Amino acid sequence: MKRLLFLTLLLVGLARPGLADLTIEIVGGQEGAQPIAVVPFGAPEGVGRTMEDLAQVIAADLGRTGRFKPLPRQDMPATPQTVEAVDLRDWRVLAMNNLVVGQINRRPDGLYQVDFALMDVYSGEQLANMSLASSPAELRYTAHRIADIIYERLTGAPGAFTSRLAYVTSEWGVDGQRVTLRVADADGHNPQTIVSSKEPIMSPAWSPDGRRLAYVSFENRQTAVFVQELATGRRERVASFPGINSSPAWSPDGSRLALTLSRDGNPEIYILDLHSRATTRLTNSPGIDTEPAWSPDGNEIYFTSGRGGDPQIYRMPATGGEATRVTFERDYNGRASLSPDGRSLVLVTRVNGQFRIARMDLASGATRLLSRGGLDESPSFAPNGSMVIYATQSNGRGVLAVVSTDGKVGQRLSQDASEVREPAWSPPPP
Amino acid sequence: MWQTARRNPGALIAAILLHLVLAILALIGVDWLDWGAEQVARPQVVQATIVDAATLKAPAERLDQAQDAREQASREAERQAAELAERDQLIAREAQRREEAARQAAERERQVAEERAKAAVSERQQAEEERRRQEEQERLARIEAQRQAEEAARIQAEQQRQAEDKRRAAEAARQAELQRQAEEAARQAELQRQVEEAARQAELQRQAEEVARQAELQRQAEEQQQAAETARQLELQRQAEAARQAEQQRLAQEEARRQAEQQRQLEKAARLAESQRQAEEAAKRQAEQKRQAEEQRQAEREAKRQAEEQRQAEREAKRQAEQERQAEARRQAEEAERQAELQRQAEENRQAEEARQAEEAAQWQAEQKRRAEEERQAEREAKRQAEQARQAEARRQAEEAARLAREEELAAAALVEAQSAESPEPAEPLASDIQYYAAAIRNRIQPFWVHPPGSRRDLACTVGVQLLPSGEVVPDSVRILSPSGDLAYDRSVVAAIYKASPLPVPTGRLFDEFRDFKFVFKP
Repeated sequence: MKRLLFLTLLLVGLARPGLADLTIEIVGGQEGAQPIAVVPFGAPEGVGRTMEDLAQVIAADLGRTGRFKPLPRQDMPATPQTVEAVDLRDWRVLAMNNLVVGQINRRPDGLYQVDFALMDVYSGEQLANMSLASSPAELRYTAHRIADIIYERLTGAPGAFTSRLAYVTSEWGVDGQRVTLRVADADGHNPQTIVSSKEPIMSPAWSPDGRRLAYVSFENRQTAVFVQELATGRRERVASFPGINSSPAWSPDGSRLALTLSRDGNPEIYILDLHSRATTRLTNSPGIDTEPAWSPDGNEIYFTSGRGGDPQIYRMPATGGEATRVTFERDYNGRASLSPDGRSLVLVTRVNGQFRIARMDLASGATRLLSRGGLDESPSFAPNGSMVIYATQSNGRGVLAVVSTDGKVGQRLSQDASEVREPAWSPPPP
Repeated sequence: MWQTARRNPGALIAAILLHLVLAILALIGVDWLDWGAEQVARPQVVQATIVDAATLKAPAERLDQAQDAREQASREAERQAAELAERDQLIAREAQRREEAARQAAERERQVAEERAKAAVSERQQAEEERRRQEEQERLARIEAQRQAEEAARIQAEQQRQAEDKRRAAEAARQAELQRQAEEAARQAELQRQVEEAARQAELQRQAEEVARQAELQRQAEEQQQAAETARQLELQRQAEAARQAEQQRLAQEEARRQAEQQRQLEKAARLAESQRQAEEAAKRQAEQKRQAEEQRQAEREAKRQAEEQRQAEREAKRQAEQERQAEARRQAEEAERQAELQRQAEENRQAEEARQAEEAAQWQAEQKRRAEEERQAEREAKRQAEQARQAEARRQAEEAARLAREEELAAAALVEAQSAESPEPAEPLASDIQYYAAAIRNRIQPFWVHPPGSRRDLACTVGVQLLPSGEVVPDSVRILSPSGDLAYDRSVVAAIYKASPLPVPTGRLFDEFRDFKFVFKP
């Protein structure tokens, strides 16, 4: 015992803190998705078939961001469902960074209890260990919640998997065209129709609180801007001036709409106060000014203008003033949408006759193409800025696609057979 | 013209042929396939599943590059057509907007019915335009979709294969590790066995040498005794037959000498048989000895060859001695004929005896010398073999000792470190050595570091690390000293260090530099 103590003291004395100032600099590395294993959740006997595959939903959510690379199931060496059953060495061999295990249990009150744990494969630390109650119908939503939690624990930024999408579909039936405005989960599942019309519907825009949608409808053969409350379906026509009424955009405080009106002859940007219904004209140029977008701080309006000949993006103070040109590359840039942090914007640009989505860093002015092109349109940031949704053409019809903000990971969202256009990503759920 | 043609019909025919060839080339050059594309029926719309578009990019671009010029040209044409269509469409859109504006202006003056009719017309135009746009895009999209589907399938297969490969590689690495350990164990066992074997062989050899030495001693003693006996007999005979005739004496002497010679040869044969038996025994023993069998067989052959050489040399010497002896005998016979006197004969006999004794002595000395030489050589050979064995043993021992030392260093490194640190005045570690290992560590970690996509360029994360003397990262020792501000980035840094474990580190005192140090990770 004494010898052991002596040895310990000797080793402590050897630590020699004075020499611990060596610093090795590692520069470079590779950019890539972080490997994660989401093991299939355990489920009670007999309900496995009807139950949502939560692990698959979670893995798909994480993979879609381009920041994570979920391990394919067939490569998993084991399928533990509890922290106790995990042998971390299995996952170190596969160079996983993190591991998610979980199980679903039925509670006496008819709800399900979903337990899950997020582990660091190397330290064994449990980065999350939670228990969520869920009704059978909400299981999929619960999976999105878990994905949000995982995303936040691993990146420090909130997830966007429980947010929603609004988009317009159109179908041709026996009685003519049927246009609907729909809202769906962020992965395109669970679509719900908000408005159905025989006339075109355009430009859905989410209010900052995520409870209302503004959109343009052609009902009565006249363009008008409506604001509709999602929960009640109550809607209100807020702008139906002579001529064009289009492209509504909510101010960050939710009190005003920026929109395009041609009531004075030429399409210009106006600000509409939703309380007083007063309009203020912002732009005044011989060219077309349209597609306004607010900066996240509400101080500036970005818009598309043809004042210089080609359509380009300009910006001006939301209170009016001088417009400055923002885009200079290529001969078509439009439909700007600001990232939640206000550092970059996504836009539609034309490259060799193809309309493609690009992201522009506002500080440097550098743009990066995010989509392959064709007729891509209506880009919109996820509420956490990690992804961009846009509409594109696939097999001759409009579909929705998401792409990571670096353009590296992109996916189509599955839809029914209708034509889908003009997506808008909701703000984060309250 | 016609006359010119008639004057030179060859040129005319050549000109016509040239034009024909040009016409055929022009016909071939036209892309007839392109014409029919428009008439293809609308494709069956397939329900799209989630497709990974970004990962499709790279292969698609590769494919594009691989396509030949004609395809590129046709694609270019398509793209230009699409662009033209787009431009038309934009112009149309612009025109429509203006028309809309104009219509709105006119609308204020016109009746509601007119306005509705116009709106209907506008809508129809819009729908028409929409349909046209769709048709324009349809073909492009169809080709695109087909290619994407194919690529998706291929990429999925590729990904699966890669995942499978990775898993196999991991498995292989694990197995290789196991195998390595097994080999190590086997090697140690082998070393141990060899050490034992060598010891056993050395012992055997020592025993063999001992036996050989004893046999040799005995043999020498016997020989000396016999030689003495022979000399005594010869002396007796000489005294008894001193009065006899020189001829008789010489015959008797010769007889005695022949007998002695025979005996000596018998002895020699016995000795040879003995040595052969011993050699055979040695060979048998040596055959058992795995490692040195070949060496020893060669040594044996060498010894045999030398023995043979010596035997021949001996025979030669003997033959010469015999010749000399005969010459001497002849001389003595002449002498005897010349000198009839007994005394003179006695004198002569004495002289002959003396000469014979001298000769005998010389022979014996030569024999002794030969034996001594043989002995020396055998000794030298034995020594050489012993030396070889000793050296091999020493080498093995040194290797074993080095390996043990290494293992000891790894296993009980703390102890070793403690001991080495106890020595006073530790030498200052060389900066170049530290740089060398720092670079090695950097190279080791770099491939393991995958930071999140889109990481800002100005990020820097400082982490502290503790290492074991084996280079392994102490579990849970990686701590973030100054975070980059991007949690995902910091996590990727920590994961990279653990994944790269063990890191290449120096042994001995220089390791202290790497016991506890810092990393700065920058993208």
